[in-house]
Amino acid sequence: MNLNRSPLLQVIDLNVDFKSEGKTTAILKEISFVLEKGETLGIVGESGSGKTITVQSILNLIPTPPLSGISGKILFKDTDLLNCSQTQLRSIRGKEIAYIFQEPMTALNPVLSIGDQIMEMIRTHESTGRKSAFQKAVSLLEEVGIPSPEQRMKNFPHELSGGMRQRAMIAMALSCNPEILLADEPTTALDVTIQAQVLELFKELKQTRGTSIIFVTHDLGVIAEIADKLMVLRQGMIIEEGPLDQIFKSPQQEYTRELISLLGGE
Amino acid sequence: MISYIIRRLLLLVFVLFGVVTLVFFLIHFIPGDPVDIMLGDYALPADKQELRSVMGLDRPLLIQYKDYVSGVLTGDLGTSIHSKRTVLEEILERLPASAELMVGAMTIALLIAFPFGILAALKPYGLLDSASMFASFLGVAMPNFWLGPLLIIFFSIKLDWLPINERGGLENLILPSITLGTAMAAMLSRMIRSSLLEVLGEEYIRNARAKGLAERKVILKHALRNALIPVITIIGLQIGVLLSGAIITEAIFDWPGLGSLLLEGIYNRNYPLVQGCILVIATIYVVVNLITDITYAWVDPRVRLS
Amino acid sequence: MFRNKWTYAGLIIILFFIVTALTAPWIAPEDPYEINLVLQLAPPDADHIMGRDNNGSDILSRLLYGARISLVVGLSVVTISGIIGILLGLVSGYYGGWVDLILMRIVDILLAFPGLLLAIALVAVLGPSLTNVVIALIALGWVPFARLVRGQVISVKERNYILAARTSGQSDLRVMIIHILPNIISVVIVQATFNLAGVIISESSLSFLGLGAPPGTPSWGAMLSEGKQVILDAPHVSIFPGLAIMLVVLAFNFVGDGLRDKLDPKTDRK
Repeated sequence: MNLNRSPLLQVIDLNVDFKSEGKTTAILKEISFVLEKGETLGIVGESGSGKTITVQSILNLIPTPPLSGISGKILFKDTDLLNCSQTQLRSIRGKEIAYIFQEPMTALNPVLSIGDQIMEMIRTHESTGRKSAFQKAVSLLEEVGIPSPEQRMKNFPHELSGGMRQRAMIAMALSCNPEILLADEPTTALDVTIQAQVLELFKELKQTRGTSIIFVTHDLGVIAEIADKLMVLRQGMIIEEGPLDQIFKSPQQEYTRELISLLGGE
Repeated sequence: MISYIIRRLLLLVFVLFGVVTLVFFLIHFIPGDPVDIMLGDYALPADKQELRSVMGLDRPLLIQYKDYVSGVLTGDLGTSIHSKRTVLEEILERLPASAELMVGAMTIALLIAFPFGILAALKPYGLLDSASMFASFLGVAMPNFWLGPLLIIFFSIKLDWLPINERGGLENLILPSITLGTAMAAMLSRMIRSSLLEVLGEEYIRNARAKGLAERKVILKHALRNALIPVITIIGLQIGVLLSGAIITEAIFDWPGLGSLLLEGIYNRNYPLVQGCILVIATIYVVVNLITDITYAWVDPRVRLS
Repeated sequence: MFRNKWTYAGLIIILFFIVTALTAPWIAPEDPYEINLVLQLAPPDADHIMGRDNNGSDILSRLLYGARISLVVGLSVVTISGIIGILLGLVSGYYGGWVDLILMRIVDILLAFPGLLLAIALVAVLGPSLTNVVIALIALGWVPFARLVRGQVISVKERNYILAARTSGQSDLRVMIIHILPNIISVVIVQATFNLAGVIISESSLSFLGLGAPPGTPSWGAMLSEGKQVILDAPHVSIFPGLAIMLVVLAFNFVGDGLRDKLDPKTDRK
């Protein structure tokens, strides 16, 4: 690692507490990691391990309640995302760091057309007119492999198939050409064949755009195809991390070995 | 969507037919001879006979029914007993006052319900939410025939700010509108709150924030649009509450609308007029409900496009 | 027992209301019908804390007697219309088919009349009296019960234990009363509590319009109607009957909410 250059994203000692019915629970404990430019970090863990909370913390997306306490540092370039103004945060959300949700059916607004939702994103961060935003949205839909994109612009989320919806969501996330994509189980809600296609799309984006990606999943098989390095979460703690090959070859933890052996059995 | 509208229209026709039937038979529920009751004990036999034949009461029931239905279809609601004018004419004369009151009450209700409902949802269980919850409990429980007099006592008698009794300018409309609109405001603000609160927990709201949108846009564009969909139906049903509440409100403020006309008809045993008023009020309600239901379906693209 | 302190406040008010209604003849300071024209519209003072009305009658005494009217009308309407509605709802939901179809179309037609309109119409033709108010409110009051019960029956009747009872050769009536009704009675009780509040308001409304209790009767609604005639000279006549109506309605609504939280945990809580 080049010591003179600070990493693109650096999370240091992130602690997150939730409070419900008067009881405080530590959801994340001492999470630290680094994401370099062009790198893809896989975060693996079972449900409840805190992987979604980790990526949502980066953009400060967790509502209070249940959130009751958050500490540590999340440095994007030189800005601490946990300690910056709302305006600054908003200018980073979507533009510099974009989020791809697991379930596009619930994450896309049901009463707004796909086109509206993509154009809204573009026009929030760039001062462009409607027409050029429309053109840009169409070419984005084309890039993520949606056929006859101009017609799809007018469609509402429920009119698209699951795979197309997720592609549209990815197009939206890409619309401001962000430096980092946070992808939270982006293939889990999809059929196996569609899953493979969407994963292929991520690989392409990685190569053509050089975007850094944090890819969250419970499925090691998916991560093996795309990640450069890996982080295994369990009960809110990192139990193992390192380059992909190294972890697959010689996992240090029993838990990781189990995950890998499950994969072999498939 | 089209087939939905057609189905609703068919149901509307059926319901209106039922309403007309019920209103027709209303006069036959009268214990005793309706003509005696309408004209009083001292009426001349010749007058009675005349009224009986004008109203067709001397003919077989089925013929009367057929005549009534075909009359209603051609806009003939019968003749008012004492004034000898057509019922439709008298109703149309009073309709503007009622419409004015309804619009006033609706405006008050929406002006109160939206800000309070939205603010309460943004800080649930906060001070404003609790206060507006308590106020809405009061608003629903407070009968309008009490609220009206209280408003008169306070604003007209003690403070002498606003006029009472009789229709006129905007200042005459204020107290009746508050009287009629309060219950709806109370109900609606709770509905808006709970609907908005539910929507604010949705993933697409988190997504809107993740896109970097300003909070105002997240609430007004993304959340409110979705939250309003169920609220539209409630507004339609609440218009029924307004329509029947208007009868009482008009009585409190001597407001010359449809409700007062109905009550005059009842007090004077002017049954053709009573029938006409009830028919018109019920029809307005049914049609307004149909319109809100169709609006509801139209606003939600998931329904509109299916 | 209840999660919400408002429920207890409601229970206390209702208890107070019932005791008042039952004991009115003994606790009322004066005869509520006594006319005393010399003291007409006397404002409240230490002896008569609510003052006197148009006839010089003691408003407090009339208010206490008024509780009896509200209670009797409320209970009789809700009980009778509840029973009718439950029976129709059971039959309609259980058998379905044309019985259900016809019943639901009748409901559609009755619901086309907003709020009190049909009650006003019925009282208008039957003639103004408390009995006719009760008849009119029963004629409409069964509708919400029937709709509620029908929906509940439809959701319950396909459950295994009901199916088991049906296939074991028990009579339909027995299945409905012994097996289905106990499963749905809690939501009916919640509905009945809210309906009581509604009926008390409806009776007062009709009496206010002069379509219910005859003039001079100490119905809370009629008292407000008299108060309105003298509102310029004696606002105190209008204050107390309305307060009584509001408190009782509020109390039934609070208790209804509390019961719903307790008996029907499916519906969302505030």
